[in-house]
Amino acid sequence: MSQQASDILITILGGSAILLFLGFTLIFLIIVYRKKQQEFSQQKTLLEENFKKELMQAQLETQEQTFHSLSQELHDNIGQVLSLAKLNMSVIELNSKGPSDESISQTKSLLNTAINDLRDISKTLNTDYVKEKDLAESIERELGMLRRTRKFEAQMSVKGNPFFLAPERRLILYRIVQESLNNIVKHAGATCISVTLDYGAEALTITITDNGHGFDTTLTPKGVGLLNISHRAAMIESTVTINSAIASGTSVSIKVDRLNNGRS
Amino acid sequence: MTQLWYLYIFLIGCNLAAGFLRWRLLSPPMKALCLLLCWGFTIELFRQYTDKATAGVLTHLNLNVELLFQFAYYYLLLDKKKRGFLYAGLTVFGTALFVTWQVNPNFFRERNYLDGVYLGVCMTLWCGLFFYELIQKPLQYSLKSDGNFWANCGNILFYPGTMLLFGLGNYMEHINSELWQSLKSINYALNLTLYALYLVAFCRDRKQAIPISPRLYIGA
Repeated sequence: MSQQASDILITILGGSAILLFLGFTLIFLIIVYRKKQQEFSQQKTLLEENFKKELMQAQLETQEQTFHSLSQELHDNIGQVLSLAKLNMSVIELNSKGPSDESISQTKSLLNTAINDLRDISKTLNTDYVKEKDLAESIERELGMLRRTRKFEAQMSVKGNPFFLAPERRLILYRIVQESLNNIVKHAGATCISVTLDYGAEALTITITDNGHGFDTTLTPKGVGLLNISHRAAMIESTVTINSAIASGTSVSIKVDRLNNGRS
Repeated sequence: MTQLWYLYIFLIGCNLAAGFLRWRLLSPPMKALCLLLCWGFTIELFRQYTDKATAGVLTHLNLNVELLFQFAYYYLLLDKKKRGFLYAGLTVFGTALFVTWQVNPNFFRERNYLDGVYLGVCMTLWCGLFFYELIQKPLQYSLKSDGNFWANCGNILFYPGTMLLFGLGNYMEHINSELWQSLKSINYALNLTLYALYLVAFCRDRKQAIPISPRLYIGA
């Protein structure tokens, strides 16, 4: 075979092979690209569905917790106040000299307290309350309920400039705080609770601290409550840190990035 | 080589049978492709049983008519906005062919198939446009059930793969005729691949409903 023929042969075979390879590569890349896109879309749909499901669950739990607090509030607070008002009325009835100004104003004051408390309860019954209200306001309301039991000293502080949080994320955060407070009430044996909302430039850090008997984080297995907290925190792309030691109280810290607020 | 030719013509026959049996189910571009195969089948039969000189002229005729059929195919297949590229391809082909004819007035009587190279360039461009359009289709759109995907897989392998054979074939035949005969088997292999993929296209093509939800579209 002449040199010329050999050159042409190499050109034809080499060139055709390169072009064929490019054709195969293009087809392969298109198939892989479509598959990846489909996988990504399926994952996205699944995540969205899970998020919605969790949101519903959080909403239901919030309602359940609210009803529980409500029944306590009605029994321990409003019920007591109204009973006292009724007792005052009976004393006024029995008093033959006629009602004194003092007992009438006392009864009025009791009825006013009952009315105010009922107003608070009607706000609580609104299921969209948490979504509509500021996070600090919702947490303060929760702490107010704890204070009214007279078993806890509860305080809250807000640092920095509050920024917008999507209602869904607000609800999940509120639910995490509610769950943490519930844990304190049930297990910590604490008398002082403090909640700090620290709005930084990049993130919001919520810290819930108590002066309870604490626990060894390495030895104590995570209960349903703590697992729920971790799971929900991961769902809104936030991180939870629990610091505790025996006889030194517990501190739960939730950090939410500001940049992730767009997710709904 | 004759056996390969019989296999080749049998495959085109199968394509035509599949195309006409599923005619009602085929999309308009696939119908245009079926008509192109009718033309191809006829010309291949004529070419086989005529002398070498006439076969050369028929090949030139086939390449030019094939471009027109392929133009019609992509005209029906691609989005209206991309029709400019179709006209551009047609203009480039026409101009290149005219220049070649001006340089060599005997071009259409010779066994020099530069028009096969021009056709390959146009087809590669149009195939690329189709694939670009394809990746933007909704995710629910199945590639397997899209006959045009299979047909274009065949096109993207056949046309660029045979471009050099068309371009340098005549020259190679003059230098070493025996070697050229063996190289022709590459052409047959690519032709068989093309028609095998066309057959899959005709068998699998079906109309697909496009979902309305904008969330499911890429980039939406």
